[in-house]
Amino acid sequence: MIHELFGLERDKTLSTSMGIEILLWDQHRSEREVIKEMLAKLGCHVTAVREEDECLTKFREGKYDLVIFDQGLPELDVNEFLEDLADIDQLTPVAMLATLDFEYYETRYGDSNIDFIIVKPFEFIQLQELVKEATELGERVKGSG
Amino acid sequence: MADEFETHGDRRKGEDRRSGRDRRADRDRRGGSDRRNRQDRRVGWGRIEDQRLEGVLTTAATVAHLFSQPLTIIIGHVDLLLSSVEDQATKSKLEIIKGQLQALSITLQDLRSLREYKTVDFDGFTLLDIGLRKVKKLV
Repeated sequence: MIHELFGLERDKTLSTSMGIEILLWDQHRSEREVIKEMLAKLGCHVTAVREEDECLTKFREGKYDLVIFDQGLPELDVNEFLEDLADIDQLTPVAMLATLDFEYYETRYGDSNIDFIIVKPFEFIQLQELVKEATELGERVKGSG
Repeated sequence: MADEFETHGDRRKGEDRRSGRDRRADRDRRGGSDRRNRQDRRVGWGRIEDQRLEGVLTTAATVAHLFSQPLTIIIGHVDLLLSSVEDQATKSKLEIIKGQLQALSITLQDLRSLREYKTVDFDGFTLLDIGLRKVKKLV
């Protein structure tokens, strides 16, 4: 089941996400940098990459609590990318940054191993919620596996 | 009983007053599932309402897609500034910017959620009905 993250309500408290390791793949420099900064502000350690290959290499080499990737590339084969991630480790939560209606993604990727979808534009509070839920999911899945 | 036009209640012209059955070919004229003529069966042609809705949905999805990224970057930086700026005057201006960005986000969400072609008259101009009242309330 994919979770959609809403967050128009304000919550000024920053999460204590200290030490959470996040792998962020986003081709767009400005977007990548601002998301990295936001996550760092939440106390996460972020490895931000530009290319798909780089993302898979980092994922293979490191240990991450969450993978966030941007779906905003027309030529990206999302399912293939997800399979590549799952071949390396299928217990790590995966979040996709998307631009269209949530229902569309739920139909298209409901059976895939995407755990969270954040529809852009999003705010601090949604990232905070994502980190919190992904951490809980990761603990639950790894604990039971 | 025939009416004043001798049409027996059927006001179609004589040549159009055919039965559904083609007696020469012995088949139902209305048989096919696609009843548009050959011209209209070309790709991209069809009922005007369907074409309008399709055009609107495509435009709405394109706008939502294209606006999402710049808005994410702007909102992200505003959020970062809000969490670090101390000066109250700057902070309240950032709050105003954030409020307007949220209004834009809601409009984008309305565009994404569009499922039917509905319009509203806006001072003689036809606009898509995508929760204009809601946006007005926020602004």
